[in-house]
Amino acid sequence: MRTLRYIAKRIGGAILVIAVIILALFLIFYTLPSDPAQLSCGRPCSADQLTRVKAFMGLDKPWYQQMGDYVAGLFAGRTFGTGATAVVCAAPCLGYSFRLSEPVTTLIADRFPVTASIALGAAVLWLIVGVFTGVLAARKQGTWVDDTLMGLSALGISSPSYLVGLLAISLFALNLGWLPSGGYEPLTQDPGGWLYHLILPWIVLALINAAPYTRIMRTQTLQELDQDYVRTARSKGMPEGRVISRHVLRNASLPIVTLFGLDLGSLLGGAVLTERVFSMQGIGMLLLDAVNNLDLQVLVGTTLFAAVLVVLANLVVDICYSFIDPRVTLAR
Amino acid sequence: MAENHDDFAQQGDSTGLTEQNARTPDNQPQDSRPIITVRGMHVSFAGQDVTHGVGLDLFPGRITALVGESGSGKSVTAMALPHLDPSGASVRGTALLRDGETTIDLLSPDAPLQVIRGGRIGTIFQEPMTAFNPLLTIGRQVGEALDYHGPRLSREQKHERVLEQLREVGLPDAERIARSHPHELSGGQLQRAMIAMAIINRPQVLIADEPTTALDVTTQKAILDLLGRLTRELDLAVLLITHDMGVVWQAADTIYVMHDGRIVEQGPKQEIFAHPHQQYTRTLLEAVPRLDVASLERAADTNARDWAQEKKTCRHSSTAVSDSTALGVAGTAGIAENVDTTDKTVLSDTAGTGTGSSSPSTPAVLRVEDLSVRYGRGRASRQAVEDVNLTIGAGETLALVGESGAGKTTIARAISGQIRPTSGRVLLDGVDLAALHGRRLRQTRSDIGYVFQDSGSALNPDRTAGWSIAEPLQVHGMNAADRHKRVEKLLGQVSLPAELADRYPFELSGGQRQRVGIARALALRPRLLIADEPTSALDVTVQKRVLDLLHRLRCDYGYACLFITHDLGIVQEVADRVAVIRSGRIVEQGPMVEVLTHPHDAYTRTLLAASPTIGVRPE
Repeated sequence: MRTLRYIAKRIGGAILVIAVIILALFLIFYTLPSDPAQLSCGRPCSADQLTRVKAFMGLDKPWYQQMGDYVAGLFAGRTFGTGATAVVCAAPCLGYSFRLSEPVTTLIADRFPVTASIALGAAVLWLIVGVFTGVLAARKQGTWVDDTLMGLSALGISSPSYLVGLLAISLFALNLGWLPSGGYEPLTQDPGGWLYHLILPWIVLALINAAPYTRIMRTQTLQELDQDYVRTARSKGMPEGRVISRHVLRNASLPIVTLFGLDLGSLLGGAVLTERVFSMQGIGMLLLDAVNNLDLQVLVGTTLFAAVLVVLANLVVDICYSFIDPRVTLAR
Repeated sequence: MAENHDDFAQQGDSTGLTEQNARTPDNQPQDSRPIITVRGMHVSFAGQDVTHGVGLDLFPGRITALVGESGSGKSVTAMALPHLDPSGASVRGTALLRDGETTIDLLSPDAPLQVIRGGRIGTIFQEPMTAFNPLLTIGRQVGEALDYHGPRLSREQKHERVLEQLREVGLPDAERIARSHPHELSGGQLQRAMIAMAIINRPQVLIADEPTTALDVTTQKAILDLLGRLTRELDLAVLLITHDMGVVWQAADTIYVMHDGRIVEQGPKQEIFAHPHQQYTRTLLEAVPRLDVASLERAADTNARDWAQEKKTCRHSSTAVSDSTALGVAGTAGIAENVDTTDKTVLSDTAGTGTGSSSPSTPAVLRVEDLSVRYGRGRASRQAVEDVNLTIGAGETLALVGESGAGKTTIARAISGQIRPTSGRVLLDGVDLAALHGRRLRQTRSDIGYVFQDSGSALNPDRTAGWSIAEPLQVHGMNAADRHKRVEKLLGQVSLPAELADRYPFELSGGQRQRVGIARALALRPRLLIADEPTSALDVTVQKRVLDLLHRLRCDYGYACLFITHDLGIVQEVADRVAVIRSGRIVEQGPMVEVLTHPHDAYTRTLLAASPTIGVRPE
C-alpha cells in the first residue's frame, strides 16, 4: 500500500516534469532568430507565399497557442493545412518535418531500433564490466590489480568516445578486418549481421561508460565492507564470496542503479557521437541532421522524446529503489 | 603481566562434561574443563601491540565478563577468537577450542573459519540497528546462518527452524518479525533476533560485544535475563564484553578486568566486587553511578533534608568534589594516562552563588506550562509530548528520566527553541520565548546553554576547540581580545589546559570533547543549562569526572539545569528533583529522594526494578 502510494507520487511528479520540459522547449526554440516558414518557403519567397506557409504550419498563431496545438497533437494528432494539400500527423504527433515530408513520430520510430540496439547492448556490457571491475578493485585494494583498474578507468573517463571509436575502427576494421567499420542490419532481417555490426560500437561505448561505474562501485564496496552488517554476515560462517554477493553487492549497487537509469535513458535518446562515427542511422543522426538543417519540428520532437526517456528512466529507477530498499517508501 | 590465570579456581578440573553439547540440568554453573583456553594472546596493529599476553578461560554454562574502558583491548581480544578483528590486526598466541575429543587452535592462520564462525562461536554485536543488513528481512538473515552449518534444509524446514528459534529468544510473534526489515523493529527486538541468529546452530561459545549498551534499561535487563537463561539451558560459554559494572553485576559469573591491553584482575563476581585487589578495579567500581535506594531510604528515615543538603549543596564544593573523585587520588599512575587531565581545584572566585536547595521561595528560572508537541501533519502526525509541566529554580537540577523515544529530547528542543511547541508555553525568567522576536529573542536564547549527547559530532570537525567555544561569544558581539580571555578562563573552569584551544576535535578524547562542549554551553553564562545525556557516550571513569564537573560548575554559575538521562544511578548522583517521562507524558515528578524511595507510578517502579543495582560495595 505504501509502495503503491509512493509509485503514484513518482508518476505524478514525472508528468509534471514532462509538462515543464515542453514549455521550456517552446520558449527556447520559438524564440530562436530562425524562421521555419522562411526556410521551407524556398527561394525566391514572396511575402504572400510566406504568409501562406506560415498559416499552413500554424506559425501565424501566438506561441502559447502553438504550444497548445502541439500538446493536443501529442494526444489527438493534428492536421496541417486544409483540403487536398492537407498533411495528417497521427497521434502521438511529435511534429511534422516539412523538409523530409514525414511526421517526426514516424522518423523517430524508424530510427529508434538502431539507437536502442546500440544503447541496450552497450549498457548491459558496461554494467557488467563496471560492477565486476569495481568489486574486484575493492577486494584487491592497494594491490597492482587495483592500481591497474583505477588507471584504466581514469583513461576511460578522460577519453573522448569519437577518438576511441575511430581508433577501434582503424584497428579492428581497417587493419585487422575482423569487424565492419560501420552500418546497421535490422535484427529482424539478419540477426547475425545485426550482432556483427554492433560489436564494435558496443565495446567502444562500454569501455568508456564503464569507467565511472568501476570507480563508484569500488568506493561503495569499500564503504559497505566496513559496515557492521558485513561483520555480522561473516560471523555466521559465510564464505567471503557469499558475503559480497548476498550482502555487499546489493547495498553497494544503490547509487549504481541511479546512475545507470540516467545513462541509459539519455543514451536511448540518441547516441550522437557513436552513431556518427559508426555511420548508423539512429536518433542521434536524426538530431544531428535536424540541427544542421535547422529543422525545428524534428529538433523539438527528438528533444522531447529524449527528455521523456530520461524522465521515464528516472521513474523506473525510483520504482526499482522501492523494491530494493524497503526504507525509501518511508521518506515523505 | 605473565599468565596469572593459573591460580584460577576451576582450572584443571577434569570432571564434568565429555560431550560438547551436553546440557546442564540445573542452574549451577557446571564445573568442568574450559571450552576455550586463551594463552599469551597479543593483538597488534601495524606492529604495535595493543594487548599484551592475555589469558582467558571460558566455561560452559557460565557468563564470563571481560570488563574495561574503551581502548583497553577487550573487544579486539574477543573478536580475535572468530577472526572478526578489523583487517590489519595480527594476532599471536593460542586459543584452544575443545571440540569433542580434539582441539582447534582458533588463532592459527588455517583455523577452519567457516566452521568456527556461527558453528562453534556465535557472536552478537553492540548496535543491533546497524548489525543487520538494512535491505533484507530478519527471517532471511537469521535463516542464512543455517546455510553454512549442519544438514541441508528445505525452504520450509529452514523457515520453521527460524520461527522456532525466534520464539525461543522471546519473540512470540515470530512470523511478523521474520517478515520485517530491520528498520521496522525496536532495538530490543533486533537484539533478540541477533541472539537467535547467533545461537541457531547451537554453538558452544557466544561472544556478546556490549550487547546492551545501545538499549534502554528495561530492555537491557530483559536481554541480560535472556542471555542468562540461554547460558544455562544450552550450556553456553558466554564471553560478555562490557564497560558497565552494572551489567557485570546483573549478568556475569566470572570477571576479567582489562586495562591497557592486560588482564589486571580476575575472579568470581562476588569476590571482585567485594574485594577488588587492583586500584584500577576499585576505580571502575567507584565510578559507577550507583542506584542505591537502600542508602537513600536510610537517609530519608533519619534526616532526609540534611542528607540531601550535604550531597547537593555547594558549601564545600571544591573539597567535596576532589574527595569523591577517586582519580584525583595519587597512586593511580596506571590510570592517569587513560584519563583526560587530573582535576584542578576550582578556579572560580564566584563560588557559592547557587545554594542548590530547591526551596519553593527560589524564583523559577524555567517554567514549562502544558507543553505539547506534535510531529507531522494530518493523519500521519504523531504526538511526541503532551501536557508537560516543569519548573526549575536557580541552582537546581531537574533530571528528566525516560527511555528512548519517550520525548525527552523533544522537550529539550522545545525549551531551547529548536522546535515550536504545538501548544503550551515555555517561560524563561517569566518571559514567554514564543512572544519574542529578533534581538530580544536572540538575547534570551543566550540564556540557555545546551550540552549535546554525542560530543564527537556536536563540534565542527574543521574548527579548533577554542573557536567552537568562542563562537557564541562572537555571535553576541564580543571582541577578539575579550573572547580569547574568556575562552582561556572557560577552559580552566572545565579543567582543560589552555593549549587545548588550538586542538581540533579529532585530537581530543571523548571526555575532553565533552568538556569543550560544556565550556561552549557556559560561554554566555546561561541561566539554564540543558544537558542531554551528556555522559552516555563516555567511559564510566570519564563520566564520573564530567558529572562532578557539572556539579561544581552549577555551584559556580548558579544555573538551573535540565539533566536528561535514562540512568537512575546518574539521577541519584546529580538531581535535586526528578521528572519521569513515558510516551510523552510526565508520569511522576518530585524530589529525587522521594521519587526513588517511594515511587507512586508503576512505570517508575519498573524503571527502578530494571536498573542495575550493585549489591556489594568494595571494602
